[in-house]
Amino acid sequence: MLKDQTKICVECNTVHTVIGNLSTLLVCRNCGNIIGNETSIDIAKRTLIDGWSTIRIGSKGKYKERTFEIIGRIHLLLRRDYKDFWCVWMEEDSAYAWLMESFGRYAFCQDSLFNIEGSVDLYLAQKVNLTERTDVVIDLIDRCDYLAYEGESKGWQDFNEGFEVAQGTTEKFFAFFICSKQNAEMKFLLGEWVDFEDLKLSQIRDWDKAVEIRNEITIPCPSCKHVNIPRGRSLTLALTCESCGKYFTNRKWSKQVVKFNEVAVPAIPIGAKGKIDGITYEVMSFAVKYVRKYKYRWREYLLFNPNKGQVYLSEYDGHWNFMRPVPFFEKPKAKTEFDYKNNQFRLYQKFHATIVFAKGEFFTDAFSITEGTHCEEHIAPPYLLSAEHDSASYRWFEGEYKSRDEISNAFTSTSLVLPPKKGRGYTQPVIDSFSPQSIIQLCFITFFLVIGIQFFFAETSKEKEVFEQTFHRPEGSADQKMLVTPSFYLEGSSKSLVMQLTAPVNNDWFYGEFTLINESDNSEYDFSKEIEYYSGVEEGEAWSEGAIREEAFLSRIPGGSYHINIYPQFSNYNNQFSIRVIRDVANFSNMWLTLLILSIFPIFYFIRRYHIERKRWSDSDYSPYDN
Amino acid sequence: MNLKELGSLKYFIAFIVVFVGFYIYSGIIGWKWLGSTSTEKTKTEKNGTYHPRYFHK
Ligand SMILES: [Zn+2]
Ligand SMILES: [Zn+2]
Repeated sequence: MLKDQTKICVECNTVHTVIGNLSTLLVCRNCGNIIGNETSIDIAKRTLIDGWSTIRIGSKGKYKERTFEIIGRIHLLLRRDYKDFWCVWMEEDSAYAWLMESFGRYAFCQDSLFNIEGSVDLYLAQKVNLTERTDVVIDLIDRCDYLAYEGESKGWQDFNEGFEVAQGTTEKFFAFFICSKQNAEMKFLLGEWVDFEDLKLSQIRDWDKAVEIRNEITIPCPSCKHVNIPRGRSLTLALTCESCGKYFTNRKWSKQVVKFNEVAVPAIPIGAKGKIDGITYEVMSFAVKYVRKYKYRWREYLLFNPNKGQVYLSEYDGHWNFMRPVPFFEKPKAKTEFDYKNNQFRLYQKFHATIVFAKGEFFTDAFSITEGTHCEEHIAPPYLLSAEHDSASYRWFEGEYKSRDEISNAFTSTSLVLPPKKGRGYTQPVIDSFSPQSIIQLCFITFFLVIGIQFFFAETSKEKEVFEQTFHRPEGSADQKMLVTPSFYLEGSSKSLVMQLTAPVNNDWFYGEFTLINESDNSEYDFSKEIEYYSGVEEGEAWSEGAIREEAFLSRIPGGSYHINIYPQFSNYNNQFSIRVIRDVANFSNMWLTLLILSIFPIFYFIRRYHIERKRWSDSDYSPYDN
Repeated sequence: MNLKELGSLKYFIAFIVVFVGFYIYSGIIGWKWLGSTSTEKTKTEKNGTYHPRYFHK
């Protein structure tokens, strides 16, 4: 088709202008009529039922500094997923590309479909080498049961449903494999994941602008014939009947109708909108899941945002976990403990669940898929990392504990009656509002600060000797007399004062009472010191006890002139003693005491935490506390 | 550690600030909390005479 050529739909007279220069298909965006087909394949008219995508033909965006325009799309409905391949035209480069959209995930793909030579058998968790740079991991094997198209596209060849597809991912890349019915070849599209915000999309439609939605769909109940109008539109693959409550799928590959024996009322009504972590979601469905092995029953809400995809809220005993899909994660093999986003996760439980009650709409046949799904939950409270796999897909979800208050604050417009909180949730942190890392960091900072201050004190203390003298027993006196030191001056304001007392005693003692007298205001500080030193040899071993030097540490002595009155008491053998007075001596005991007192709260916290963790893991088969 | 967590730890942080402040003040005035030689602080009249004291036996 020629670029800028004008084409008119013969069925509805809508005027189309060809935008790309090599488009091979043009489908009326209004009625689905095939206006131009240069593909050499017969393409039938299809009804494209809208999902919840906000992207439409005419939307504009940016990718890697290149502007683009959406000119058409191929919509693939799979059994567990859907893929919208939006055909992208980049005027600056005269190039095409595909923008893949699926449940709030986007990948920008090259326009060409690559062929894989020879026969390839894809299986789950297989690593497929695509180019020299990329090994993708297969995480979905599925089947395209319905496809539809609109607008312009280039190069797409598979227009008849019933072909096998697979998805391969890495952290960076997205690959979509198509087992073509056309020529029995395997081909793939390759792209890079991109965030919705980074696409800088404009001229998209608002969420729920019903006026723009074409072809509203209805799904009659196979049991009571009540006509249901699904909120999820084309994305709704299974639902419960509004009238009779039975669960059924609306696809021809599954005709199961389920009548639940249990009845439950969702605490958050279906259709309620709430804002979690800054994103508004709508509640699509509610399911009660049951694990026979543990007789464990919990409630799960499926929430949806058209640009961010599907997330889950699960509730057990009034404790909530918010779960969202992880784009790509490869768990280290055969490990029950591993790191993810700087948290150490540990396997907590493995289970198979069944849905015992459901209400609302599901984007897959949730009832059947849940039965065949093996779940492994790993926790690092308040975080949760869960792996779900079945015969056809491998999915990871990351979750976070949410308090009852956070849930009721999220759904402010709806008055909720949330179940009361019982016990401690398995992902509930010891204290919600801060992590043990914060306490450790804070302690480290404080301890270094205190130690630093102590070094400053030790460095800057003057330790100045202000007085030293040796005294002898007064001659010829039997009575002990008072000795008076000359006066000495203590500089500065209040500081510590150390008096060292030495007496050369051996197997002897010396005792003195001292009065430090401030000569300006006559205040007195009375204290006493005793020296004892004993030594000897016993059974060939030398021993000693006591010391010939003692120290008096006086706190908070103001500056000024001082002298000391000494009342010595000599033994019969020793006749002398000496004193040495030192001003401004740093002490280390205050530092140790400070560190000890500041440790009380962290120590208490970690002891409590240990007990709580032990209790938490006592409910698990994989407790690190069991040997 | 983020601001929210610091907010939750405000009482502990306040305690740290007060206690470390007290520790610094003690260091400056030369106050050893424990193990300091116990003194009996008294004031005598100026020019007072020497009072005989109790002596250790
Ligand atoms: Zn038309
Ligand atoms: Zn019904």
